[in-house]
Amino acid sequence: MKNISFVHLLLFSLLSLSLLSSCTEVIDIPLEDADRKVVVQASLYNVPGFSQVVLMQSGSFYEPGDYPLLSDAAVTISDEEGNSQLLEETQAGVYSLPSLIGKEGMKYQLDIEYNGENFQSGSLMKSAVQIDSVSFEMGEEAPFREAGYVMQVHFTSKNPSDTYLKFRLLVNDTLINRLYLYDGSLPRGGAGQYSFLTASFQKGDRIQIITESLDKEAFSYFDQLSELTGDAFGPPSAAPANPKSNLSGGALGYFAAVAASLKEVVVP
Amino acid sequence: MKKLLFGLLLSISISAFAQDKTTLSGYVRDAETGEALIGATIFIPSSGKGAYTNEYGYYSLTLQAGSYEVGYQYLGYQPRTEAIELTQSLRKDMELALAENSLDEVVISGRASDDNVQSAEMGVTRMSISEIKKVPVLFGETDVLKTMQLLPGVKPAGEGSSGFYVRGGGQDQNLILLDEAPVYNPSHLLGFFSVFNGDAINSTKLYKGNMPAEYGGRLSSALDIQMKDGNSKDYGLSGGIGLISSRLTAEGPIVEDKGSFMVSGRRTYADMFLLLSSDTTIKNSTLYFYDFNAKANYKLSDKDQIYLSGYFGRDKFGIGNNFGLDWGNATATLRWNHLFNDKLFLNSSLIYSDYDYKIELTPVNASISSGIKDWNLKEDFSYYANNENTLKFGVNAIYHNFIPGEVSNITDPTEGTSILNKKVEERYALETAAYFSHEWHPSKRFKMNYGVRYSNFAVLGPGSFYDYDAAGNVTDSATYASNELVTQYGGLEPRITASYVLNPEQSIKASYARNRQYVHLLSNSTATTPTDVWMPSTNNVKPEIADQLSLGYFRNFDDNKWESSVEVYYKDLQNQIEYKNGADLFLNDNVESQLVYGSGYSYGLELLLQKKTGNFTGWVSYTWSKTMRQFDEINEGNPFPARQDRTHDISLVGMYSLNKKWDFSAAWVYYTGDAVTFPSGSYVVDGNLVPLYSERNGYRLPDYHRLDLSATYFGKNPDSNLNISLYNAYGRKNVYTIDFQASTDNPGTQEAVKTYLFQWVPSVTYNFKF
Repeated sequence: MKNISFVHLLLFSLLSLSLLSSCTEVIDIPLEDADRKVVVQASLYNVPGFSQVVLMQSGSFYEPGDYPLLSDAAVTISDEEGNSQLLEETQAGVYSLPSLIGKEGMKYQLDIEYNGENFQSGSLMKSAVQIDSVSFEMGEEAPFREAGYVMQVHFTSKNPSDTYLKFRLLVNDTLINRLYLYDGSLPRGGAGQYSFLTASFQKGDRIQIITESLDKEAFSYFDQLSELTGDAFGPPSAAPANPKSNLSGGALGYFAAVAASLKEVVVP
Repeated sequence: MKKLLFGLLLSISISAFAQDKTTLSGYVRDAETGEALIGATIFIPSSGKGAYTNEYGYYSLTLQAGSYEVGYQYLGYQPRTEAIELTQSLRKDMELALAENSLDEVVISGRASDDNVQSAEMGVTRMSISEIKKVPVLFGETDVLKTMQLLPGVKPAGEGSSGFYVRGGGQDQNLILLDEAPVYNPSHLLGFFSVFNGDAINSTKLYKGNMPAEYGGRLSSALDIQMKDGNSKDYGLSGGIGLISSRLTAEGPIVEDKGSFMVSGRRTYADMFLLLSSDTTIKNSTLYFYDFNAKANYKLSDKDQIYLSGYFGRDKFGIGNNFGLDWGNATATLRWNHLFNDKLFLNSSLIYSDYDYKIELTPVNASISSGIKDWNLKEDFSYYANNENTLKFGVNAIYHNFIPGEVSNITDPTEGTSILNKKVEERYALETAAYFSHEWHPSKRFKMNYGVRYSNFAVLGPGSFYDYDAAGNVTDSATYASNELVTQYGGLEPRITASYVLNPEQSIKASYARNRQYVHLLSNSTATTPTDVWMPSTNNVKPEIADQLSLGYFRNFDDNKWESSVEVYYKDLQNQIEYKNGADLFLNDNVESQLVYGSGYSYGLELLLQKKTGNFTGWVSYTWSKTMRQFDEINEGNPFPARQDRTHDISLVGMYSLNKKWDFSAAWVYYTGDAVTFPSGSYVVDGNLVPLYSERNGYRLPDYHRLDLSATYFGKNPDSNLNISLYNAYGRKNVYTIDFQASTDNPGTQEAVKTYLFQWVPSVTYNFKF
């Protein structure tokens, strides 16, 4: 329980404490609707069945949910050896191919043509990182979590300071929509370990941990994204901005070549 | 430049000796306490000649031999007129007594205070602590910084904050000096208190960008705060007891009329309120600060006086037993005033300044620390050549030691594995400067103060330095040995202010100043948090440069009872610093790769109408301004308003002495809401709702306004009083921050939620003096 996030977390709760005397109230702030922008979510996995490219548009802020899916785009993924695959639109706005699988160590290129616009990106598929062991420790209730077990995972990677991981958790088959990010380039005592500080687990929970190894650029996108989704610790930025996409052409979103591994545990 | 300086000195000296002139000089002090009166006026009504005391209370006035009526005056004190026969140069120390109470109209013989019209100064505000103490403030705690924020062109950083912006500059662009020692973090309790204890302060002076050449190192302002010397005639104990803080000051002579001391301490006990909480974590938390000011001075001879002053303050925060944060400043100043003769005054200062913070995580035995340390040597000469010419010149050298961050974690009690010891390299630099300035009064109507400062900043080893490409990757690195020169910057900083008196009640003034700044505060939040890090200019970070041009019209009414001024300014800023989007700053060796550099400008109009004497005093101030920044990497390269771009800013301050028992005061402030970035849309990534931003700082917080009231009751002892104040009297819920979140009332939609801090804050303080 001692990585950098922990420090940020405490600092944040400290700031909250200092504002004890504060009060909150809903307020009417008129916001202008920006023009709709193209949002790309493109992932190429090293395992079958997961790779897909989703194209949609942004919507209003106060009434989210209306995000039109973009059909009839030409979506191509090619590797550095010159192999190129044109994806099929399997459902509205979703493009894939059953045979679409990436190889570790290969660099991939994504090309999207939609309605006269062109978006491009590249991503390197790194080596997958396997979780060696998982440990649990009882944690008290805190401002940022409920009482319950804190899970810590232990792993080894070839080049620890060039390891960028994004974890996805399925708890009793339910996906948790939260960004858990491990940045190996940061100074940390817990190299090769990660604590899920904001999640609390109960005895008997069945947890599937998907460990996604990313390249630095794709990771940086999620790292910046976490500042906006509230998953990053620390006081909110004074001047928030859109995460820098690794796509050219003015699209929001990302293209990531993902080397994934799966670990399943039951809380003892 | 030396030659020029010498030549000037020589020519002025010769012209002084060529005539049959004598010099009247000495110190002006408070009759009761012996405290130096800074900025007191000495004038000869018959000739219209005059002088001011300097920051040690010293003055020097050159006159033809003869007999004169000499007036001595200082705001809030009974003026004195002395008949002086000058056959040869004369040393005349003068003591002024406090005006018995403000009810007695201060009658000014010969001339009233029209300094604001007459002097070759603009964009300057002087305030004595007695004026500052009358203005109502948050928690009833006299606060220099918050009172300054009621003046035109000076804006608070946020609700209840002691941080401030001057003419569109950043918070780190203010040079804040306490007895000449720079104070790097002027805030306690995240800014709700300033580090300046009103009981320990004599006077303050704020320059809004057009500083004379003796000040340097910051772009936007110089705030010069002088501590009290302590009563040199009698022992005294004074203090105040308030709801959340108390103060105690002891002072007295070391040897009567030869030396004195002053010790003042303050502590808050806001954490007592935490005990009321039902939450055990909050109950076991700590939240307080304390600070001490101490000063001693001793007169070695008529020509030599030494001063030793210091400040020490700490803030302590703790959550339960798990977490501690403590930070604070320490400063020490040793000064020696020496009079070579009645015209040449030298002050030598040796100054130490230290700011540091430390976060402790008890369960894992870890700590994080950061700070900055300065050693500073100054030699400042004042040469009072004659009434038309005053020269100031000097040199300054500061050795900076920057400690960006260090983490130590010795053991992990539960696992005993993984040791973390990480330290971002310390940085070292030598900042040197030489200056000279000339206050020149070629005629009664025309006055000017011009000068130039040359500053140099040498970045020194040991350490590793890096070059970066646009993406922030290291392209080259070099390692330097101890005291080896890494890189250096330097340049001239010309300053000039000129005034032309149209008639005794009106003048016009103009000023230009260039300032360079070599130290920068990296901060990503609006609150003054202790984790903001000071860093030097380096091979990647260029010095910030500001050029400011201002024009002013000054006008007094009704026998100088009312003062008014109109000032306009334009300020150009170079090499401003911002973070890249998503910058990673914490303990990052390559923090310089996370920065972007740009420019800025601001312009504005400042109006001030002020009444300084009588039962009713106060002022109205209005500022209209625009403050913009431009960075290629931000907002698609388009200029955007800085957060502190507040179009309108109004302050009304009124103080009324009803009778000998009761004083009342009120202050009302209004300003345009800060420029902020809000979302203009949304989208979804991996199931997470993400706000979409369009323009940087394209939205506004709601306008801010607030009324504060205060009443003071004086008992039989006029030095003791009971003060009752009410902050935010009509309870406006001013916005501190706005957050957007999922609505609970209308599921599936988002709503804006404002956080406000202080709806009504009453406070009671009992001030006493024995």
